[in-house]
Amino acid sequence: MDTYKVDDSAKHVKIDVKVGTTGSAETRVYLDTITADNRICESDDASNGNIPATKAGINRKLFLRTLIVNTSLNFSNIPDSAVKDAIKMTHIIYTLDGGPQGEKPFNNLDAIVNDSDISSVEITKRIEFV
Amino acid sequence: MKNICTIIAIILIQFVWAQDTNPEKKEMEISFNNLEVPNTPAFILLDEAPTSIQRPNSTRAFALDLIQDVTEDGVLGNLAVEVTPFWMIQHTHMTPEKYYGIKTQEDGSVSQNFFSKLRLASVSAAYMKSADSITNISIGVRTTLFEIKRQDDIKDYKEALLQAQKYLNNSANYMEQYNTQCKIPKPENYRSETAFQEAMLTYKGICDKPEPPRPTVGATDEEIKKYRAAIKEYRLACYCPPDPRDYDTTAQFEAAKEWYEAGLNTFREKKREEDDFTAKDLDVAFKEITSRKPLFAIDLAAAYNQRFFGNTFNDNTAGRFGIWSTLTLSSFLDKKKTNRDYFNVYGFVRYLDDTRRGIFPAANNDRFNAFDLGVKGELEFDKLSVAYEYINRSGDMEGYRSVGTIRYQLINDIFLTGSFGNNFEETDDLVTLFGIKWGINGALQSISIPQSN
Repeated sequence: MDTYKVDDSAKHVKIDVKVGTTGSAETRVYLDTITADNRICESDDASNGNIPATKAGINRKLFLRTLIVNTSLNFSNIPDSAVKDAIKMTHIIYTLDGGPQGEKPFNNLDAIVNDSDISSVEITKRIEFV
Repeated sequence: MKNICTIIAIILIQFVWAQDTNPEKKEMEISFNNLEVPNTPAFILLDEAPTSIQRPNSTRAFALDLIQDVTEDGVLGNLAVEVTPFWMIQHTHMTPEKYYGIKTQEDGSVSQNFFSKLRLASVSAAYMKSADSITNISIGVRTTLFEIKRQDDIKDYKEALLQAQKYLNNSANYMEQYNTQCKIPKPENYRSETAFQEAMLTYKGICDKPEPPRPTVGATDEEIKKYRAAIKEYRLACYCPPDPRDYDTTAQFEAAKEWYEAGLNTFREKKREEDDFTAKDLDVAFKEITSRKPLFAIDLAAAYNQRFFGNTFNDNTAGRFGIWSTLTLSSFLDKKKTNRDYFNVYGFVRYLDDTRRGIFPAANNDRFNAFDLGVKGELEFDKLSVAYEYINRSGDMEGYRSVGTIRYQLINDIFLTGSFGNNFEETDDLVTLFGIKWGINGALQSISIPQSN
């Protein structure tokens, strides 16, 4: 699992998500669990899953917590047979900034893909603050 | 005429395409695809509409009106189009409450905006050729000045809106909803059913307790190690979906993931069915409530007509100008309101400024004024309405119109009308009209429902 260093400061850590896909996308960002109580932010309807730099929390309060970025993809605009390839071609860049490591990009290569229902594919990325 | 038909055909094609909207988007909107298709003021001005006294509750984005006097040659040769500009523009700040004409006050009471329908004004244009080689081109405008809704209808609308907002908030994210309620151990992690059942009892205890306290920055490795072990146990018991950190082997994690996905998919299918049902149910409710006629309404319309002689553009003269108002009182036939059947009573008053037909160029002394006063009674059932209207004309022109009308909705977008009776003139005064109306819904004929906080 990817990690991002935090320090004892009260400086904000920010998350930025950029989604490149042939389908339509929605992204939601959580801390620790994918539940409504822990949702930090979500993409706007017109953004196709992209989230501009948004505060995730302050450095010292994020220590040992896990940032979970869940992107739901909808490929109803392409044939079912092409969905697998479309998932493979989906690239997501998650960028964290505000910690001692500064701006650090992550990709979705180690993200967990739930494609058991191709009408609603989920890509879940975890980054631990250490 | 050929050019007019070409332009109309292009507009119609655009509207048909425009109706193919994203079905997912529709779930978040109230779609108004069952609006009325009334007679156009441009026809009413010329006394050539099947009924002169009419007060539509709503108009569609675009409507086509074809009329034929069955005693004359031709096939539906008189043509009118009506456009409602409100439905041509995307209304990003229009809320369902504002559209319906109500406002919720701070104390929770609901007040009516009696003038809310002004924004739904429509404009129309008509082409009509008479046997004496006169071509009439008319333009008209109509709006509802004032209306009073029933308190019961307002209450029903508010309830439907609250239900819709609740549905939208609930259906936003199935995964999030599932995770909130899936705090149970995963059976594949246990050697036997008994061990799993025992774990269930233990883990229930864990999930009911708060999460293990997290060390602060600068904690020792020992403190961090202890925390990781505690949070791993907590996550295994209480978190969904499974976290790869909590499994010793990839196979174990894959098994947990499979278990989780099966549960999520079952949950998602069930919710989709429920939501699909809810969305359809709400759509029907909104259509039914918004189509209810108000208790009382006053409409205002005006139209102007230019006459062309002998198919020559330059040989034209100002024809008729009219301004009229229609007052409507609607009551349900069924007191329980289970069927939306109405008895409507109309009052009608109109001022006309006209010139004698066939005079070109028309001088000032060829013009004359008239004043119409009329009443109408109408029985309106689901798809069928039967009405009788009487209008008395006084002033420089005298006469009366006494016409019976029948109207039937063939399918959702097509309406057939027929009328028979006497139409003002002293000679050639027989009304035997048959018409077809085609209402076309625009892509923007809907209002978004905002999610409540």
